[in-house]
Amino acid sequence: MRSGTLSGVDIFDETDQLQVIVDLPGVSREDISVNVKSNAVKIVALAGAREYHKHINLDVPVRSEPVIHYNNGILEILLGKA
Amino acid sequence: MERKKIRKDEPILDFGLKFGGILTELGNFTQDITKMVEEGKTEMSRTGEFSLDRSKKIKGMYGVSVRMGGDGMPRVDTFGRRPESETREPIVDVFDEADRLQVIVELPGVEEKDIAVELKDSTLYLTAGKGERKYKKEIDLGVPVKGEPKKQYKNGILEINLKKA
Repeated sequence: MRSGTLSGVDIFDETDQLQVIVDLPGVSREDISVNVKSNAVKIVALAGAREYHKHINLDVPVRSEPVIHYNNGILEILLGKA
Repeated sequence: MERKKIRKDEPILDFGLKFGGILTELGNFTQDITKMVEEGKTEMSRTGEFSLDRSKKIKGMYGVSVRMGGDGMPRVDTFGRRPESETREPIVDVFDEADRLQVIVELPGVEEKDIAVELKDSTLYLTAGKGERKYKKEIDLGVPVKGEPKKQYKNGILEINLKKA
């Protein structure tokens, strides 16, 4: 189920976890930092001339150990519900 | 070497008018632009959520990207997707580099094999992606070019190099 959309960000509610998909073209995995708080995710990516700051509010509380994948300019964050 | 942009977008100066109340939610965005200039960054973006009343019943999303043009003027684009249209229009930059043109296209989420670029006269016809991620754009290069476009795709960015005719 899709629960939220903003430019470059999709959040999918998958029963026991949230899947957050973020467009981050032009950076490398090691340039990306993901900071999870109970009901928000902060993403910062710094790569030379490119700089991204994204703050995403979540509708449900999540645990703080995200699973992170980066491929073809897309960041996927899996967050277990608290 | 100094890169020269040939895209002729007019810089938007009336941020306040364009973004209205959303601007306050963008925090210190103008300070960020100043920082960009100081640090020599050419591009940054900020996205997030905002709510228009305290009960958070009215919520919205924003996205703004700023690029520094070759003339030193920041160019501000809002971005996002139009719900009625499945095909997105990617962000494109064209750089004029002496004997060649370099075209940079942001295509996050597509596979390299799903990118097609066709050159006709001095226009590039680009289609990319499949399923939920589809992009389409006609890029007017402004000057005549020759030969096959050379493509390179990495981390969601397509780079196309063309020789000037």
